[in-house]
Amino acid sequence: MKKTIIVVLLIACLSSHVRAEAPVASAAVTVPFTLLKTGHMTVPVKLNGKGPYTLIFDTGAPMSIVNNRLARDAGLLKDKPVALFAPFGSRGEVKVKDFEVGGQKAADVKVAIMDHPTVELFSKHFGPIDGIVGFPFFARYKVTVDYQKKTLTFEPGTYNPPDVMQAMLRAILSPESADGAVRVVSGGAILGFGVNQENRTSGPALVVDRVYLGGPADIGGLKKGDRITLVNKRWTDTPADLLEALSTIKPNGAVQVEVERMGKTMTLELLGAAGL
Amino acid sequence: MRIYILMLTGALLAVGAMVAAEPAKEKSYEVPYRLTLPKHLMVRAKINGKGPFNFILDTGAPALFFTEAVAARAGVKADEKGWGECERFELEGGLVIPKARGRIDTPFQLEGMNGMGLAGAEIHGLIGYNILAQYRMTIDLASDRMLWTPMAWTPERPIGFGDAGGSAAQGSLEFIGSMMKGLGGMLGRKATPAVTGRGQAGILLRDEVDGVVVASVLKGSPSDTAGVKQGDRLRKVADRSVTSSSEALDFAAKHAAGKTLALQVERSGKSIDLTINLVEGY
Repeated sequence: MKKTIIVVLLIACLSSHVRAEAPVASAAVTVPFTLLKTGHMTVPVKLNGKGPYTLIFDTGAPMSIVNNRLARDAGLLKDKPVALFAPFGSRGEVKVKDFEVGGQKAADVKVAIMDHPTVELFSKHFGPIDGIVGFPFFARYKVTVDYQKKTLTFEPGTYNPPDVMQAMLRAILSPESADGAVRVVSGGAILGFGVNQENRTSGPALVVDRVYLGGPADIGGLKKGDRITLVNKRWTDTPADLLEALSTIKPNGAVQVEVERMGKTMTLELLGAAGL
Repeated sequence: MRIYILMLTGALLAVGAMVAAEPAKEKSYEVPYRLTLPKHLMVRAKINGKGPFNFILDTGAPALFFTEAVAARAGVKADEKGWGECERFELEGGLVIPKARGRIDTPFQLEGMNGMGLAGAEIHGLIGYNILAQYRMTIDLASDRMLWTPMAWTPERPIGFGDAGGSAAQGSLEFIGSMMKGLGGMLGRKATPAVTGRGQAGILLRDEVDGVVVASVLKGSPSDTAGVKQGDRLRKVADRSVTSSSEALDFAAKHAAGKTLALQVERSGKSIDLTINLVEGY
């Protein structure tokens, strides 16, 4: 009997040890979410220590949004004058010092204050739902969405999300996006080859029609006549596809190129070089 | 003692059972994506071999949505409730989603974004809950690929607020789509702006302590024709002084194929101005 107790204690100690260590060992935090019948998910959110409030988690939302009720409750409306033009009770953006989803805390996250009609509609059906958690929060993390376990895991990442509103305003006002403008895509390195687009009955393909001798593509084994089907796992049906697929290339960065050559499919690894 | 051993055996059995219960090996797929200007995660898909079409990954959408035009091109027929099943729905990266059911509809958000040309590419649909729930997804913005792992379970079907399975009720926001479309029209926006590549000059560069040096000139390239030589020190690109190869690239970045690029190099103490006729190339 005594031994049983010792074993139970041992196991208990083991599990409590695991529990205590988990958050320290990895800064990843797993947050259970509630799945609404509509297929949307909600998470508990604390703003500056107030809450928790219930918000929708939305990878399709460029902004995070909170409604006026939450904003008032969490004290976000300080120094926010009521604007003359305020559709949906919009009060502009505020920076939230302490934005916490489940147990994962982020500092200085921007949220827009507005009574989003879709959110209000959810609120009417499913009880108080006060906003949306979007890109400015989740982009900071390596996020794992598991619908089966109904969890979101946020592991601190290295991406620094830019200000979406600023970027959009700049883009809308920039001459490059004006009528008839052409966007020039530029990768950060040179490979040294050219292609021709060929329309085949089996679908379009890009055919290599020029490989500069001694250039990175030549060294990597690319040959004239090769049909390029994939670059870094991306489809290359058109020259524009190829441009986009190569837009992230860097000097000394590897590029996987899948080609068809004499009926055979092979994958080449090309190394980008600094150059023009 | 007997109890102790039993416990231990029990624990071993449990571990054994866990190992056995673990699926043989989970197969994960790398799904390349692009971030659009409004910071949407955009993936590409071919439906019944047609496309690729651009989709936004949206946990805020109850289901897969695609436009009537996409359905027509891919030959997907809508049932009386507006849903259609795709025979083959293949994501870029090689993941094939079996029997993907979607609503054939144009949500106002798409109309708005395409009307303003905001995404930099025409958006053809959204991938929402009914598809996403079949996978475990890991999204890291620091990488240009996501990870999708098929899960062996059948998620519940989502219900809509109205009778129409999801898109019907948006809380009276629908007018925004046509408003944005109107605004986009006034600003002269297209859903798909024309894209071209930086023109190729055909020189490789090397960074040195005191500046940039032409490491080699690709034989037969425009730079070769224009007379750039290996060992030349690159001083200016498009009339701007350069001190590094990345700077040189920045200054040349907006010069498309078919245009010219002005270079200034230093050779044997002399400054030489050269004009390169840029060609299409990668």
